[in-house]
Amino acid sequence: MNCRQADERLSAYLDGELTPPEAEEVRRHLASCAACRAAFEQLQRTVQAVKDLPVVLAPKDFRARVMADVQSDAGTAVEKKAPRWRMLWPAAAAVLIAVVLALIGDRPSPRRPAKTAESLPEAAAEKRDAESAAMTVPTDEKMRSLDGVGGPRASASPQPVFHALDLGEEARPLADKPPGSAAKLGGLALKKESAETAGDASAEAVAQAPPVESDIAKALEGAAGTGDAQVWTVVAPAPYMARARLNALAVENRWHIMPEESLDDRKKGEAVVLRLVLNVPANQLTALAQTVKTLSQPPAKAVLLESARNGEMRKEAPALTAPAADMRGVATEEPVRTVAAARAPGRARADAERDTISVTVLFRSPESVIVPPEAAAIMEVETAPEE
Amino acid sequence: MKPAESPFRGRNDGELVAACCAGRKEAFGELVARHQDRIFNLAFRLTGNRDDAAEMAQETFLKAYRALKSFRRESAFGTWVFRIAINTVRSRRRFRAVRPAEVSLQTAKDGDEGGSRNRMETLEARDPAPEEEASRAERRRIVGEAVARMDEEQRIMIVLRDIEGRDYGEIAGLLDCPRGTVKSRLHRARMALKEILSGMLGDEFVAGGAG
Repeated sequence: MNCRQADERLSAYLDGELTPPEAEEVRRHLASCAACRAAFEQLQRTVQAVKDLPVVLAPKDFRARVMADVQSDAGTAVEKKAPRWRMLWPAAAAVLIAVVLALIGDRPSPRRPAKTAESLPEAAAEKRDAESAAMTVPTDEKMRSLDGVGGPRASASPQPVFHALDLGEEARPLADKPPGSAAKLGGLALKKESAETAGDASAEAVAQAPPVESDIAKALEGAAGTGDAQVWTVVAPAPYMARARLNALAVENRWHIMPEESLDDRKKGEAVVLRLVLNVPANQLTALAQTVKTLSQPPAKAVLLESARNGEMRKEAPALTAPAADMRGVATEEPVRTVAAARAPGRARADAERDTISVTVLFRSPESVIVPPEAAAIMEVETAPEE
Repeated sequence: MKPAESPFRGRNDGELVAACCAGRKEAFGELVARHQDRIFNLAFRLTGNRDDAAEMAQETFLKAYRALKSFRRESAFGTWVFRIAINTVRSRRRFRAVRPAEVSLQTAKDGDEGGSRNRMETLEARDPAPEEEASRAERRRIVGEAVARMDEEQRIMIVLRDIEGRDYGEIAGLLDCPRGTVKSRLHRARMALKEILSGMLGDEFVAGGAG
């Protein structure tokens, strides 16, 4: 063992985190090398100095302050998380937006809103036939690329227009609903989406989405096998809406939601990053991926899934190898489009139940150019001088 | 401190959580009282100043309160809150432009009123030589200052390992990164701290005096 090798291991040696043979090598090197021994002693002093730091107590009024927060958070707080409510609010919001749009349209009936055709859900539905050819390419292709997930049924059903309709289509095979109710669900999803996209003027972008190329089924095959935890990012103009929809589907499909890990929602200026952490049975990972995919806008940019051990996929995700300056949560020039940064190998969280995989879905508004910590961690892994 | 009258006194955390979920908000107050110092100290070491620490710790408990019903009790309440605190501080950092060391130092100084009024003097005194007779307390302040000056990503390693005493596996779990990364990052962090301390304490530290 040379000095460099020894030096790299000094901390782990000090912490007793080396394997016995490694520790023995370090010990022997230290015995024979005065310089390294001096370095080790300094390291020990450094660590000891930190350990000697006093505990800093909370301010006296801390508890009162927290309780004031809690009180003003009023009644709703603890009950807030009920999934039922979450399932309802996107629908409520959609209805509200639709009503507002109808009022703005200033017409007795919102059924024929010629002037505002672009922005009204009903109009969008009516234009479906004319535009479906151009717009359904991505959806269709990706549907077929997945074995057994929605394939045959999807092609038998009416052509979806906006990808929100995908949500309906996805929901059907996942929840195994009869065709009749699925058609209704699809209709509802379309309406919701139209209202939503009209609201933030991104309907155009959605319609122009290029075909989805990546074959996520293939990518996932590997991931499911390894049991590695996944991190996927959804870029959506309405991240709250997107998460609410995924939440609703998760409840419907009985995917286990990890609420305590889904906490750190962040909003600053226009940037929003939300997360939802799910434990999903391995055999439903593809289904989840499909769902997640539809939540992104435009879908093609949004989904690039990557399993932790899939080097090929990694190459296609340039953001993951961004320069070191971008690693600390600093804004990058380009928004990180990567969708999936896998959690590092060895951190598989498939442990709770043998065949479930932990999937962290991050929802990001397009304005946000923040590298999520997970992505940063991955980049760190790539550049860390590990041996 | 006289929490003697509290009806929750002999209760364990799990019982308090249950009481709180049943609508008794005071139970949460008791949980806060039990865990506030630990969480505050963590936040203080992670952020480097009291104001930020108070804000982060407060936010941590509010988040915990909001999510209390979904707390599965697979882990202890303390562990759960600890994790929320880490995530709170980290996610906040993400939204902040990385500050140069000077700025971060400035912030720490400004924000820290009660704790170390001598901080300014300490900093100014680091070039000359009164360190030799520095009291133990003063030395601690300098070390605390050195930690506060570190890059945040490195600081978190030092805090989790050397202040909180977590092992590599636990740190990997808390930060969602592989154990190997913990190993290398922690070592780099300690080397960086060593450099800062050498700069602040000079020969005394390098030679190992007054250790």
